[in-house]
Amino acid sequence: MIRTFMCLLKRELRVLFYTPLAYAVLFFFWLLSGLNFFWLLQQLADGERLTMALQLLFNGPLLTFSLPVVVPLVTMRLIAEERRLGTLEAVLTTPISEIQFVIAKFVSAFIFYLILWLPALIYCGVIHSLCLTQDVVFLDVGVLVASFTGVIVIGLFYNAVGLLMSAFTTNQVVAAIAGFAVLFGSLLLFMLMGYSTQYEVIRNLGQFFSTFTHMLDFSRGVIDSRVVLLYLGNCIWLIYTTIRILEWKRS
Amino acid sequence: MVNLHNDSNIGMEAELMRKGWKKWHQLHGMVNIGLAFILLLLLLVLSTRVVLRVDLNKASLYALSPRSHALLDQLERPIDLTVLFQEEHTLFEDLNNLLQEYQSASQMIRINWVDPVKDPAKTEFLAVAYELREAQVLVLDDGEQQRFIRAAEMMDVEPVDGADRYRMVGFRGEQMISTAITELIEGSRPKIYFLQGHGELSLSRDSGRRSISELRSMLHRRAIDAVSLTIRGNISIPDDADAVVVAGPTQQLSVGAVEALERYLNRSGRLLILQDAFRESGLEPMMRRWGIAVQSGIVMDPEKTLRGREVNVERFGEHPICRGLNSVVQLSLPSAILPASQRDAVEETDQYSVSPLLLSSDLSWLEVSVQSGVAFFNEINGDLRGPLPMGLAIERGAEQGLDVEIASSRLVVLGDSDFISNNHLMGANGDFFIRCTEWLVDRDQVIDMAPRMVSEVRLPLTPVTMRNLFCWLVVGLPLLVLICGVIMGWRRRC
Repeated sequence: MIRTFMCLLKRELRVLFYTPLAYAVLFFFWLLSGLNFFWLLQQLADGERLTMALQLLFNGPLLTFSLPVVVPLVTMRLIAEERRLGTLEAVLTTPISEIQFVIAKFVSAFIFYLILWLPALIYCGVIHSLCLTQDVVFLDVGVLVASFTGVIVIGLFYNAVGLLMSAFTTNQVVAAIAGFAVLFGSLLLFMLMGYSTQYEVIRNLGQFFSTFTHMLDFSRGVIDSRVVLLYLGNCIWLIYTTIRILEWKRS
Repeated sequence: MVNLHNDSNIGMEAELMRKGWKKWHQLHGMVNIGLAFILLLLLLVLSTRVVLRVDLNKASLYALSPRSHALLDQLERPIDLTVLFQEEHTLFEDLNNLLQEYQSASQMIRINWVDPVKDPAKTEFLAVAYELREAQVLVLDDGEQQRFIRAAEMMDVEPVDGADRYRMVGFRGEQMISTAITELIEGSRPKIYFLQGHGELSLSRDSGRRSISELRSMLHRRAIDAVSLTIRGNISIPDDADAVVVAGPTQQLSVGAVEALERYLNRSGRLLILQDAFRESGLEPMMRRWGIAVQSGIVMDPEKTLRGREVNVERFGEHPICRGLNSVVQLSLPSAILPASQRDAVEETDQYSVSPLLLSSDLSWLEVSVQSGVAFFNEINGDLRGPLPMGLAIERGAEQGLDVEIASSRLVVLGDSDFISNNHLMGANGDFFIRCTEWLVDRDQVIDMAPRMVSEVRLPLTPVTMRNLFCWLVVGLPLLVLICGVIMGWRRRC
């Protein structure tokens, strides 16, 4: 079972890195994260509070608003393309279960998502060495652990949303737009609810669901069980729904 | 024909059955998804009941101290925290983060955010209800009592070099909020009597330069009542006195008043004496008995003065009163308050401790002779070389081994009184005095909570370094990916 899964995963990753889109997405995101980091350096050259600088590193506006665009671009082809080419039916007639199939797709997209964040490690190293010359400890291990926990749980959720959208349709563009609409729409909606209203209930609700707020907390070193469970629970439910949809297709 | 007809009937029935089965299967799937969603909602609701929240940042500005957690566990009724702050305010983000920690730690904390600009109607309502005169204030209300914390009280600031602005160097949010919660839990307000009748500083607003009405307001905001006290004859200090302040008497106190104060102090009393230079208050013999010698003379500190009259104290002792104090206390022509070489009345068995509070610099001295008009260090005249204490805190406890706990006596003596008058209430003057009174009224745990230092990172990045970093990180890394993509595309085509 594991071997089958690994075969599927390898195939997915090979297909993923065989497409020019993957490189285009990587180029786009690394460029934005580079600009975000450069902006942070400029802030630090002028003098910036440590808390704010930490939040900018992992939750700068360029990163926050580019992720809902980037992730659906990666996940749009996962199932939609299989359905469009007609290979889904062929795969589903083999002994491969829907669970293996969906999880392999999801994990491959998630690995790509983690590769997107690789430069963050380089940025941390650069900024840490720059700060050490000033006898300032910019990043401690706790903050790094919390920040990457945030990156991981939010990534799990984003990829699960993209995967589900890809399972709904045969058209990759439609899947990408739907994923973008859900992720970007929810990001904006909850930000507006959480920060611009005076109504306490709406404000609390917005902040409870806002990815932006959660990432702010993670990037200053706070891990909250409610937030982690929110993303993990949603991710599991979305993957489960994707599996059920594939079961319908098979039936 | 008949067979064909039967076959088509069977085919149609099979098709109908297949469609029915498919619908049933879809319905089953949808029900499963719905049930899973309900399970998810239950999980989310449960997650709000049992919250595990950890702050892994060692230098966090917002992680609550164990003392605050213990305080929140004591809460028996909800506290409404109204945050009347604009989003643009420097403290807004810090308060938001800190209050999240309070809310996560206790369900008894209810937070209500009001932006004075966006919601003027509600602001007006709150201003009337709480008699507020300014925005950027935090109101804690437990239904019976209220406490108010102003923005300025929650932050330590310092001027930015070369710019006409200030930056925050310390955040006192937790200190102030936990203090206010402590006061709400305790319910009572300590009462401090200010002795009057011997030319002391007056609580009245009409006393001109000798007025300390501003300080009275500051004490009031910290839930401490300041009341005037006049001792006539041999009347003792009122029983409800949590502390007594003798603020710079210009005339000698009567024998009856001195005896009343000493009796009070010996009965686990709390006394704060502000003794100006070259003023005889009549309290000197009593202070000597408590191990304090007030030296005649003025502390001169050329390194810590601008006009010659004042001493800007930046050196503080190791005492709870001074912990976290990082601003300047400005004294005017202060006297030196030294520990006496011999203590007359203090027995060896007493738990006795004496701690310096304010210290002059190494280059300072005590000028004994001020007639000449020119101050310089002259050992022959009896001048003393610094550093010199200009304030002492003394605590004398009960004898050990007693089953009954008896509160200790506390005495604070400072070498100046003008620093708390309305005209001189600047820098950390007011804060320092309030810390003294809070120590006297047993609010040690509150003043002990040090402000969180706000670290600012400033990297000396040259244009060359910035250009290099831009080339490598902003251009180089994405370009590397692009080249990989082109190679992959070329190989694919080949």
